[in-house]
Amino acid sequence: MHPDNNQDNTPSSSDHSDGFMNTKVSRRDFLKRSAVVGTGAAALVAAMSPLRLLKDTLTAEEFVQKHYKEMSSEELDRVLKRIERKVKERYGVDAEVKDIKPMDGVEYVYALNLSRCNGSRRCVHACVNENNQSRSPEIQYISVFKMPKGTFDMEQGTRDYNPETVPEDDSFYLPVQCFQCEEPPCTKACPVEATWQEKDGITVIDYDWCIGCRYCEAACPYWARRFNFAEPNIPKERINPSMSYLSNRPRPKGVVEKCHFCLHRTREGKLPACLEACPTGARIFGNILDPDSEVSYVLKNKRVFVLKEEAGTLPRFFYFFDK
Amino acid sequence: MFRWLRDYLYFLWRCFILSFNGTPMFYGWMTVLTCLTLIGLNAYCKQLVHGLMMTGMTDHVSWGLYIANFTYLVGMAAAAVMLVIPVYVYKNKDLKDVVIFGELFAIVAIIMCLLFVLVDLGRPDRFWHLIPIIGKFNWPISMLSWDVVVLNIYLLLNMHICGYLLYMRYLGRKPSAWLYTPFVFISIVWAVSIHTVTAFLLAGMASRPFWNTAIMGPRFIASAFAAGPAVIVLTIQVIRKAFNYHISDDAIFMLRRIIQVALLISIFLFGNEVFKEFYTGSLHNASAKYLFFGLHGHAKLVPWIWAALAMNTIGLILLMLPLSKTLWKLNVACALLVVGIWIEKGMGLIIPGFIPSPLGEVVEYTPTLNEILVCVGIISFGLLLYTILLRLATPILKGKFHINLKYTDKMQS
Amino acid sequence: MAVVFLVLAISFIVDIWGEPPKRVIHPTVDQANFSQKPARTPALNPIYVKDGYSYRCNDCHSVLEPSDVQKSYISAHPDVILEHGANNYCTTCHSPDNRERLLDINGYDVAFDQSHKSCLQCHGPIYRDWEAGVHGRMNDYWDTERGPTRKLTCVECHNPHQPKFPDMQPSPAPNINNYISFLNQLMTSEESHASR
Repeated sequence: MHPDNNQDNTPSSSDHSDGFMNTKVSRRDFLKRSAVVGTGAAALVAAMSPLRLLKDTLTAEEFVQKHYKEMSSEELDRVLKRIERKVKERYGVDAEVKDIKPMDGVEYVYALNLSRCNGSRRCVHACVNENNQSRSPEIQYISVFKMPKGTFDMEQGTRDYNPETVPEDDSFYLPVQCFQCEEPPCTKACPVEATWQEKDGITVIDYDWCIGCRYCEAACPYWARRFNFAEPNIPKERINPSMSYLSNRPRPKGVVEKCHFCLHRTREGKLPACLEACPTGARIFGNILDPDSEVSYVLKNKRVFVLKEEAGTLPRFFYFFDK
Repeated sequence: MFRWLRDYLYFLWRCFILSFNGTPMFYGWMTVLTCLTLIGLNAYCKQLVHGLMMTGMTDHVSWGLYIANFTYLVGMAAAAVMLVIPVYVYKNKDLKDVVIFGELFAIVAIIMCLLFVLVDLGRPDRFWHLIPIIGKFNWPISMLSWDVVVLNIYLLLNMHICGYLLYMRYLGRKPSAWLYTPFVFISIVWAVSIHTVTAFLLAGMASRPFWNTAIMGPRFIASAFAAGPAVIVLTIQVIRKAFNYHISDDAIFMLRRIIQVALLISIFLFGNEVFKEFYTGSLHNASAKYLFFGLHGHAKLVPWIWAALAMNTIGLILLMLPLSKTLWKLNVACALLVVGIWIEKGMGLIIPGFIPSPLGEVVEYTPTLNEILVCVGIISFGLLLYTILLRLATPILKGKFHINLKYTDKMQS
Repeated sequence: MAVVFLVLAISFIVDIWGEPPKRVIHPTVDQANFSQKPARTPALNPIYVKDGYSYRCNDCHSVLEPSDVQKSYISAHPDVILEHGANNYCTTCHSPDNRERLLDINGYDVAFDQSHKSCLQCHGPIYRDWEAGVHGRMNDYWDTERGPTRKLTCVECHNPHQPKFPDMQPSPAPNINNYISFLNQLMTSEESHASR
């Protein structure tokens, strides 16, 4: 019964030392063994058969693509052209994919007036539309929480409210998105430096470098990061053709994404999409290094606070009330 | 000049042949494991095609069964050191025959760990980004990069120690101490480090108060040193029977003592954690509340954690009973501990960390069938590997699989 | 053994080991949900439209006696409902002498398209914030070196007669369910997956 029993006791020294290879095999045994090997291989191939459904197979060029920071400008240009081509193939849209660098002397800060926010969620959908986010499965960077008046306990808030009209008398609304922290725990977590903070304060992700381990998602105290659990699905007519490498180009399956303060707009001097759609003007954005900017005014003249200050993340997103 | 290379390649070839030879029971067992592995592979291929939507994970609970098993198995791998320390530090004779099985188990556990990490990746095709120099390794800042380093080095250390000792035995030579003893002592420190680093991976995040606790490391070590030797107690009894390999009961009793102590420490630390969470009563205890009592009507993990606590308690009681000649009580205790600690440290630790989310939302997690199949596949693959390693190691240790001896079983199944 | 493998291979081809979760396809959100249109389009010229005819204010008001009536007595402007705090008189903001002009608190008149100069008389702190760009919405450029900032005026959000910002219908809520998994399908035959 035991595997060692059979011939252990009678090691026949008369055999060649490489007796294994010379063991006589009967025809029947041979057939038997081939059958096992054959069907085993068949089972292996069959087990891997779902791979035939794999669309968008990885090219060698994509496989060896370097980290964003290590690409030369020619290499980056080639990558940008490739992304444009892929967008054209998949969505039939002529997109322009740019690489926009941070501006000197600029550090972005966002401020949000909780007295004004009426919970209309226009920012949420403006963001989705601007940033080519997947619609099904749904990915949204901004979460608007309806909070009962009289508490700041997030557990009592909900994103799932849908009254006839907003605001409701017993509630206030708290939009949350990536706060572009000065001490981001997410970039610390990333094992491959696929996410980092740029000099204008925006924490970006190289979607072509991310390995999809989701450690950053666990490390974020603000639940700001989203993972592409499936291939993103965007209606063709809703593609925003003005794209950039580090922000709103369509993301592949299996990588993490998040709010980037619309860097393809803001680095060209424009306001972010969520702000432009806010019906109440609750959102204020600008350069904190400019003492005359709107955000500087808010920090100087309003009583501001940040979420979870105790986490030590130093968010660049300030809330305030003005009545 | 090339003689040693030829001998070594020949050794590998013989190992390869030998691993396909055995009794009908061996064949049956291997067939079952192969089938389960292939089913797991099939499930993983589906995950590759459709993405991680094949799992029950969401943006709220972004780690699930895979990472739970990973954490648990890192502990299993680290626990091998509880055989190494008595043998090499205290010159314990009882465990001397067993220590190699513990080290082989560590190899397999680490391989399973790495597979669990691999299947958890959204982009496994970019694994090479994790390789230092050619990739971009965020070391020493990222705890995950630390984990990759320590796990792989621990794997290499154990592969070297086991491989070297077994090969010397095969050659019939006395292993030279300086070629393995330094590595054994490094591996002792390393074993503690792999599990501590894995604990730090979770404990280092301000975003998850449930994990953000200083005793995470000690708790990990203590529970691993209870569950790991428990697995080995069960395994060596199987080895005794299946491979007709003599292991004394004294070795088992030695392990029993180790489990007793480790389990007591583990339960003590667990109690500390529970006190801190519930006596303080800050909002940070929401995850603990969810785990033990449910939160806002969501209570999927509650029966599991209480079952785990019951298993650990019964295990402890059985272990504290006076020593008996028959092993069944010990075996029951070990089985209970293996399962109990798996729940407590796997799903019972990873999942509540995500519930409620940092923004207070409660979204529960249930693994999908596909996810479970992938896990079954990886564990079966681990067992398959371990069976092969034992199949090779036992005759070598018995001196029957030797360079100068023909050793073969009947080839037919 | 061969038979077992063969059966297994067939099982993979037939694919009996579960099925991929079904994606829940969410309806496309209407463009109105991210429109940049201001909350209202104010009248910037003193023109009154009624029954398809447009009149200059003074077409009537030069003839009519400038009355100092309270809000409830306005019969010619049924669409004007005055709910502006304690301001019960038209002539608090509209010039009694020239209805095509507005009024500030000192009695100086203000052009119709400069209405914020009337507002600031009472709403000093808010006006200060608005001037600084932290009350009311901005559009286009934050960096004025690159392009102009468009700043909405008071009346693009607030109806001066009813200045409370209007309640509005919220845009669709997030969809919690993105997939229907195989296990869920097995466990619950009919599960309602709310998707708006």
